[in-house]
Amino acid sequence: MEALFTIFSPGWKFGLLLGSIVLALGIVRNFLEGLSIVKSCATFALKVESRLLGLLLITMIVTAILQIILRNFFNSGIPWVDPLQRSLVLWIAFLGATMATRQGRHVSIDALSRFFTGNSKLTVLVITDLAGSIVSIILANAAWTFLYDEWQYGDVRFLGVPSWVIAVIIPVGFGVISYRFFYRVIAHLRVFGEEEEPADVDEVKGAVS
Amino acid sequence: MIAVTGILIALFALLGTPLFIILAVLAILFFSSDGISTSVLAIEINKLGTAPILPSIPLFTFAGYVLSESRTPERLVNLSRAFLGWMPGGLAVVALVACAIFTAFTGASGVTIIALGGLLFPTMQKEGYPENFNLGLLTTSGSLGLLFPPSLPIIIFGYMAATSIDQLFMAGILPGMLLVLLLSFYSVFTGGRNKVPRYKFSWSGALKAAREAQWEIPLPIVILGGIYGGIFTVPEAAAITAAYVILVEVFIYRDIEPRGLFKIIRESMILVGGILIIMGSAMGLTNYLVDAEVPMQILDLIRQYITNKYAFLLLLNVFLLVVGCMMDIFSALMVVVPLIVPIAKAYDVNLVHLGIIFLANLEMGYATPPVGMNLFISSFRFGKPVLRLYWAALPFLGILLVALLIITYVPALSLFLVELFGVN
Repeated sequence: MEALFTIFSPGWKFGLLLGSIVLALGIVRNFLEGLSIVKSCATFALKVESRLLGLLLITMIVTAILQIILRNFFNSGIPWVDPLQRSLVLWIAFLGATMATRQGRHVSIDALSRFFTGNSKLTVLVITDLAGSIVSIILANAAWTFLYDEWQYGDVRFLGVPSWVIAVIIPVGFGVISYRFFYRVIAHLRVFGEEEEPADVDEVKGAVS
Repeated sequence: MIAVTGILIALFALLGTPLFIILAVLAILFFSSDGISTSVLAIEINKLGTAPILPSIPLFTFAGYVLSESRTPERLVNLSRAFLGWMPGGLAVVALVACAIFTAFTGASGVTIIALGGLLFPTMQKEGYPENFNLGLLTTSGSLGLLFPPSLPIIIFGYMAATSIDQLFMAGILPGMLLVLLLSFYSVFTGGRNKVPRYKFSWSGALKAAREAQWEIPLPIVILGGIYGGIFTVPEAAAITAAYVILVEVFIYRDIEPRGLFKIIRESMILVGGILIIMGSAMGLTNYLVDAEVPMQILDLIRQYITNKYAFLLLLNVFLLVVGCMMDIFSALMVVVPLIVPIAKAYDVNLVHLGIIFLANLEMGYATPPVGMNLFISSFRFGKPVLRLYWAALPFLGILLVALLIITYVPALSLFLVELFGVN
């Protein structure tokens, strides 16, 4: 970790680097769109995320019930259950949010966009998703600085797990969110000018049910 | 320069930029203009992983999704029908009660209209209720019930306002009943005028419906009994609910295949992720605003015109109705609550009462033209133009407005049960 923070020391330069990585990845991905290996990678990623979410949620349910039983029937309890549950919330939040980005399902005010159709709708989507991508990079960068501080404090959350390990999901999550926003920008641009209504630009086609 | 930036950000928001991005941009701009590192925002977001109450959000949301994917809506409608169908306008009252219960358990994500609307709408049409009445009723009922425990918006208000969630749960019960009751009067009246068929109450029918739903009926009793009996906390109640609905819907009723759970988890956690990430950036933003004493400045401004608590509450109602029809309830709570709470305190408004006023307003905002979310969901679900739904919702909104004023100006309605049971 020390080496990682030395090479990628927190600051605006790291933000620029992160931004360029997202930009490059998005463009490369666009050129490789047709390859079946890219498709199966995306499907695999979706599966991993889905299973991980399931695992985290089920862990949450099981440990909570264990805790209730222990407290009410055996007058004892496990001290690490509560901090574990809270940490799981953070991970679930970011996994869920990255998936929401992939499917374009973030909550928005959305008062005007209903009135756009066809290419003007695509233009609006390009602008808003691009804004999302840029801001997410800034957030990832801010979170990297925060992670560095957490790592230096070296607090332990539970069972010897340091706080920064839990917080890793914040910069990683925002990085993935930024990439996914940018992927959508390119995907919108690809269908620009086509007659059909823009619909499913998910990396894994047909995953939106 | 500041004005231009402000207008630009507002434009981006209205064009549909994800709300967490808008809030984050505002926070980033504010923090950097004061020379504070933006990593402060990450500190606030990291707090999502340290709050004791927050595990209840994914757990209750998941449980709600399981219920709506199973055949619970059908059993719930049958049950309400067996017990309430004998009234004039019985089916409409059944719709209100079923929607209210269902919303309490699923949050107000529009799922009620999707899950129950499809069952109720055709039957109401067939029994001869006017079409506009049916549309209006189902549109406004889509958020009815969010004052009842264990509704998610109550939990979020409690968290954002640092108010006791146990008290809020108790406080919502009577005002929630008032809403259902007033709408029921209107339904009975409409049913009578249109001479819809009436059914005789039969013990055998009621027993049969109750037996069908025998595994779901204990759920509210277990949750409330457990919380108020001091057996478990709100997040633990959420875990029990989640485990219980898996047990019942997957293994007893077998409405859902075990494999299907992954998809339900994914779908529900997308919603949860969307809500929590807004919560994170909203906390960053309001942290700045509260530090910069923005609520106090607003308070000074309002104080020049309004010195009276009741006039303030009226202003609050108008403001929240506008907010409620612009934003969904979760975002509205997360953005507005931290700003209003200090002001309401200055006007000596009880925070538990304030919570109920907030939720009642936002509940109504859901169905308020021009951009209330339920109107669009209904338009989509029933295949009617949105303009038609504006008209259909009007009489119901009128009734809700009356209820809202009663809730606002009779604090005892909210606080009576809290004081009676001495809830902490």
